This record gives sequence, structure tokens and C-alpha cells, in this order.
Amino acid sequence: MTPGMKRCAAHGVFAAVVLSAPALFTRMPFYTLSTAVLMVMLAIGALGLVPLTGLARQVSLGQAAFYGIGGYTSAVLSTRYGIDGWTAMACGAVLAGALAWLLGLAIFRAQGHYLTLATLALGIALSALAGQLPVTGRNAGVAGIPPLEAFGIRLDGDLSVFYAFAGMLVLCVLAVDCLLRSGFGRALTAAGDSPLATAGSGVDIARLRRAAFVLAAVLASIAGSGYAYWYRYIDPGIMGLLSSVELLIIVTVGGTRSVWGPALGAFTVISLSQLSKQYLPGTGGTYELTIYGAALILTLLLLPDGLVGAFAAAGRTVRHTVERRRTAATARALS
Amino acid sequence: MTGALLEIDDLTVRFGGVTALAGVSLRHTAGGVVGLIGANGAGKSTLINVLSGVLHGTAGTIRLDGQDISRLPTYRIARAGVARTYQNLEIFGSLSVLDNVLVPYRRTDDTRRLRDRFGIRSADRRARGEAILAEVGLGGQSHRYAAELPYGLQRRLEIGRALATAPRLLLLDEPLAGLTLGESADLLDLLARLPGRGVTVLLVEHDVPSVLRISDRVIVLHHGTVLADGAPEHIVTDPAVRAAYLGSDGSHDD
Repeated sequence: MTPGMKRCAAHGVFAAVVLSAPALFTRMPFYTLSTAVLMVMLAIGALGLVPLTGLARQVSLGQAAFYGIGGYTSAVLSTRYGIDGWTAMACGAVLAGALAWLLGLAIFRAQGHYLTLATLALGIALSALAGQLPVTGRNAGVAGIPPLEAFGIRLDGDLSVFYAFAGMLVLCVLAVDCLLRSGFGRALTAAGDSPLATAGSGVDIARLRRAAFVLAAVLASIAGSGYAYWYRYIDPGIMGLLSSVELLIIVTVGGTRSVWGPALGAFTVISLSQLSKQYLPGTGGTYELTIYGAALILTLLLLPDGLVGAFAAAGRTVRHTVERRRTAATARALS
Repeated sequence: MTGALLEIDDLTVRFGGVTALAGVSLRHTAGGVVGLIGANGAGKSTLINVLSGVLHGTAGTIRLDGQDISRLPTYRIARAGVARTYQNLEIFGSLSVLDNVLVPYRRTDDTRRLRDRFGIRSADRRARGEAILAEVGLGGQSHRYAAELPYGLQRRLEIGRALATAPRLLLLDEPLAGLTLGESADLLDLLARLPGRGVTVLLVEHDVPSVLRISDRVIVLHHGTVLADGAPEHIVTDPAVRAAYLGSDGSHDD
């Protein structure tokens, strides 16, 4: 099999696994369809962190701010102006992308951890702003968001929303994978390894990082819009620091350098959080944070390339063992 | 004032109270290998860092083929035709060997064309990369991860990556450091061939005999100023150089 065929097969397997989630989740304890929808939204929201954090090694603590921009733009445009859901979602993505581009103009000129600090501030500022402005419903948020419609079908149940956004996740993963296989992904990886030598090779690193930041913002915004149309309600809480940290944990646990990482991470982290709610009842979610923290520390210590990296390493070991045995068997047969 | 590939005029670099380069002026017409020697702290690395835009000078100008590059950011200087290697290796370890030489922005490419700009992997781009790898002695290593290469080959990979920008001026910062005697000899042969492909080489190296052997012109820096400048055979006999740097018997002691 050529590497290209392997890639296609991998995308096919991924699509099959994701799309079969409803059938599995409705037959398993702890899991519900709404868990599956949440996982898909978070996987889309964390996907942009693969190029940005995994390859270019820039840490954003403001993914939730862009998630919130998508959610609020959709909510406000749809409830107050009656704009079609998909159009509103596109508006949110453009707004998030434009804001990331402007912010990136200022941040990436300088070296250091400005992105982390600036995005942290952005999340705090936007969540405070949404809590104050009349148009965003102040702290009460926006309720009564109409569901999306696709091909004449109202996406007003968990199952239809799941299929719509699972399909989008599969397409986004495919698109990001293609992008990362081009010169853009190569340059991002180079910039993560050695910014000095990348600039010395004639690559405008500021522009490169800005492009990755815009991509991450757009994907987070789409996920936020999806969330708003599914949950039909949005409040400033979704833009909090915790949501950004959650997205970072998801991508770290799944694997920051693989396009499959965010989906696997979302599945693992949300599963852990559901399990903790099941077995540690009546704690009002306080253990959830502890579980997230523990999952993150264990991943960083034991699986620096995340679960995808660990599976890939295990696959290589198995293959090498098989090859060695085969060579040894051939050698015995010949002697 | 025309015709020179590199013109450095009264270049001064200060770090707080320390003056690393004190009014260096140089002029070099395209071609050949220029050796840059001097004791630790003489300003050799500072000069390479300023020429490549990693640092900016406090005063003075640098012109490349008449274009003032003194204030340009690193990537613009690289695009203007200055490539470099690093004293402490800076390879792209998580990319394949071939991808390492495909990252550079090639000076002669037309940036208005999408495929040149975004480097969509076309067959001729890969062929160009393979040709550069073969030239620096890395043929057949294309698909290994750069981090897996032995140290000596990583040094060669850096030179290949620099050549991939199609440079006019190539700055080599201690390319022989850490190499075995055999590896050094092979690499020197490679370096001596570079002027033949239209690249002017500025070589910073502690191994003075090697520098004297392959350079057409040698510049000796001493406390941030040019102490001597001339053909290798004149440099070894220059009394000021012998007194300040080479030692009275002409042997180099680092």
C-alpha cells in the first residue's frame, strides 16, 4: 500500500468509527447521544490546536473565546435578526478569523509567550463583555436559539445534530490533514523545531503562526456555533478559562501532532468526566477538575505524543516484532 | 561603489557596555571562499549573526549587491540571498531529510505563483531537493527523520538546507566543529566546490590550518576590529597576526 492509500484508508476508518458512535453509545452504560454530540463539538473546537500547538508549539488559552464568538454570533444573528443558521455560522467564523488575524499581527511580531498571555486576556475580556452587553443578553445569555436546518430537515434532535457535525468533523479532519501535508504543514513543523533556522530559510514565521492561529480560531468558532444551535442556549460561561484549558487538555491527551488526536482526546476526556460524575455523585463537578488535571499530568508523563502517538508506537513495535520473526524463520528455513 | 556582492560599512555592534564589533568595514566581490578567523570573543559569530539578521547592528550599514539589508528581518535577508548554518545545529529534527531542504524559500522562485509560494509538492521540487541532498553527500537518506542522522550528516544537512535557498552568500558558522578528521577532510572538499556553483562562502572556523587551505581571502578579527585582511599566504606571515593571534611560531593554539 502506498502512503497515500494508507491515509485514505485511515480517513475511511475514522469516518466509520465516528459515524457508528450513536449505535454504540445507545447500547452502553454512561454514554448518551448528547455525550456523543458534545465530544464531536469539542473535537472540532480542539482540531485547530494540532497545527498551532502541536506543530508550531504556540499555546493558545483563548480557544474558548473563539468558540464563544461563534456561539454568540450565531445566537444573536439567528434570534434577533432571523438570519439563516448556516450563514450566521459563517459570519461567526469570519469574525473569529478576522479577530485572530488582527491579534496575530500584534502578537507574533515579538518573541516569547505573548500568545498565551494575550489569548488568556482575550477570553476573560470577551466573557466579561458578553456578560455586560444587552445584545448578548448580559449574564442571562441568549435563549431560544432556533435549530439548524439541512436539506429541509430540522436538526432539532441529538441524532440529527450528531450526524451533521460528525460529518463536519470528518471533513474538517480531512481538510486539516491535506493542509498539513502541504508546504504549510512542513513550514509549521520546521518553525516548531527551530524558529531560528526557519526564519533563516526565508520563511516569514509571524505570518505562518498567524495563519495557524486564524485556522484554530475559525474551527473553534464553527464548533461554538454548532454548540449554540444544538443546546439552543448560550451564556458567558462557555468562554471561561476552564473551557480553553479543557480544549488544550483534549488535544494533549489525544495527541497534539496528529489530526486524529482531538477526536480521540475528546472521547477520552469526556468519558472520564462522565465516569467521574457517575461514580462520584453529589460532588457538583468538583472532582471533574481533579480528573482533568490527573489525566493531563499522566499524559504528559507517560505519553508525550498523546494516545495517538502511543498507539502508533505500539503499532510499530508489533510490526517490527512480526518482521523480525519472519526474518528469523526465513533464516532457519535457508540454513 | 557598484560591483561588490557584500559591502559592510563602519559596522558597530554593542551589547550594553560590551562592544562586539567596532567599526568593521569590508568589501567583497562575488566569488571564492572568505575565511574569517580570530580568537574567542573577536566578533566572528556576532558578524555572522548581524549579516543574517539574527542581530541588528548598533550603527553602520550592510549592503548585498547594492541593497541595504542592515535593518531587514531575518527572513527577508534570507530571501535576498544570504543563507547560513549554525554553530549549534538547528536542523528540523521531526521532518524527513528531504523535507528539511524543501522548507527553504528559494530565492529564484516566483512568489506570485501559488505553487511556488505554498510549495505544493511537485515532482520537480522534490527532484531539486534530491539533487541538493546528493550534492552534500546525503543521497539515499531522504526519508529518514533528520533527528536520526548521525551528527556529521546533520552538519551536511544544514549546508544542504542553506543551499536550497539558492543563496548568493553562504555563511558557515564553525562547520567543522565536532567532526572527526576524516569527516572534516570530506566536508572541506565539499566547501571548496561551492564557489564553482556561484555561491560566495564566508567561513568562520576555529581550525585555522583548514581555513588557510581552502580560503582565497582571509580576514582576521581582533577585539571587534579587522586586524588583517588578505591572501592566506600573507596572513600567516603578517607580524601583527602572529603576535596577536597565531602565536609567534605560526601554530594555532585555541
